Amino acid sequence: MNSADSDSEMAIEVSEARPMGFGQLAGLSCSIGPGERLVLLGPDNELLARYMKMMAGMEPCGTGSVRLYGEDSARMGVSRRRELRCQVGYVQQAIPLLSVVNGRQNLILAARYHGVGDEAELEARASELLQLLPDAHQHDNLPAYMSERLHRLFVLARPLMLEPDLLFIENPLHGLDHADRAMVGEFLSWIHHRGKTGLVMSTDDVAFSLGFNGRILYCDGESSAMYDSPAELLRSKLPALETMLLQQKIMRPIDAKKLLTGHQYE
Amino acid sequence: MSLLHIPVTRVIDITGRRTILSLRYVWKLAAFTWSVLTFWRGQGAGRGFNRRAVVGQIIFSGIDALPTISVIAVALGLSVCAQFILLLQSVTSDKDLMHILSQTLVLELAPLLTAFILTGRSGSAIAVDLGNMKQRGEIQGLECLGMDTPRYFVFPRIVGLMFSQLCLSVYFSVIIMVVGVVFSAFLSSPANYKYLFILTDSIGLYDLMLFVIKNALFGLLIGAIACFHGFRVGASVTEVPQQTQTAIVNTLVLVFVVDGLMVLLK
Repeated sequence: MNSADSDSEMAIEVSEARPMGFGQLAGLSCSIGPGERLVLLGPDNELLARYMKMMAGMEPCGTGSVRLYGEDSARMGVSRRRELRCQVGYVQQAIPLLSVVNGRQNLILAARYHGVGDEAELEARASELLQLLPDAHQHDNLPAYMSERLHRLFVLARPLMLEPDLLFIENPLHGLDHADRAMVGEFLSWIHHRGKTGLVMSTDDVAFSLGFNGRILYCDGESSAMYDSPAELLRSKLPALETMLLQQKIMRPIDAKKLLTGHQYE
Repeated sequence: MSLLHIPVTRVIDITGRRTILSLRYVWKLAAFTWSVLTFWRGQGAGRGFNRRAVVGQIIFSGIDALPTISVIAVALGLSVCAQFILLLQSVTSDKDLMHILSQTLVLELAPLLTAFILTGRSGSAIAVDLGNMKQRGEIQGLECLGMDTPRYFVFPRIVGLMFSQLCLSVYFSVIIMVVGVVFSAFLSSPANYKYLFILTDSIGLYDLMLFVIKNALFGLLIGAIACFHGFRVGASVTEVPQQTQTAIVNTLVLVFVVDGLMVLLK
């Protein structure tokens, strides 16, 4: 099924699902359409990664149900899960490129494996992506001879060669300095504005999730809540989320008002 | 404390356990190899595209190994083959002499020594290469792209090694015999050049078939065991040398076992 076929239906439907071996955690429920944007926000990146893998169909869920394009994830075999990566891409946190081939070959590798186009088509797709990446003189280098930011951008660009409907990215800004964060942010924004691929990202960074301007699913293992916009998240009364906002020094309108009228944080 | 103080039951217990472990190892190795080599029977991506990886493996394992193989074959031709000819030509007929040389040097020594060189050169490199990729998470990254990594990495390596082992073994046999005959002619009499023509008559079609099967099996063992152990590396970098060492030792043992079993077919 390609994105055109699936526009009318939800790409992913999650109902009270918990990752395998995490029966005590809060169940997650949400629906994600092709091309949609969603941020999974929470204090524990490792836990969010488990939820992300479950939602993307990388791993079967422990309880509840996850349906990808109407298909029950629990009943999928290994080969079906692999095929699905052409529609639902996944980028793990801190995963390196393949060290034995250069940047360009890293981009083309998976697309060639899945036979998504002939060589000329793949080269054209790769060139389109390469134009967006900085440090052009390093594109044909082995990953060990690339800058950190270029390496990170190649990792993000690699699944785009498969033109998935949705791309799951674990903590995309992990370990980046301010300048590199801006560059990765720009690239993510380009992916979204291109309109072919939706983004589902996990993060523990509230400012990033607010700046992303999409739906935000808060999840800390004990509770979860869906917010349709950053403004709605800032109005939230969820105690765990309020603590997170406080810890990351995010000033909400309501807090600003309290501050102006002499109220203090407890 | 001497060995005599160990109870017989303990010796039987240890021997039994070691035998079961060895059989279990061979079973797992066979299952791994079978799953990789029979992928063409299944469905999905990645079938029949690995031609360039097979060629790359042949270049690395076959062509790049030619200088080493040449030096060893020339040295053995001078020391072993020429000596055999000089020693045996006075006590046996030309036909028997060539039969002895073809059975020992061409059909036994050449495949074994080629297998040793390939194990030390390519087997260890493959185990380290895959082990490092596995340890650094590069393989996990490719799995996120929907690639069947055992199939993608193992199949071309096995096929490349089977082909390289066979070709190098033929090359080794030719060099050792030509150098041996030429050197013996130089030391003894120019009449010894006749052995080059008698040699071709002393190897029958059945011998030739066994030679091909034996070399193919050796190549299969070297590739499969190196990949099997490369994929067994976990998260710790210390596992890479451990698995490499085990791969080399197990390959040598199994090459000898297969070589021994092949005698039964004669």
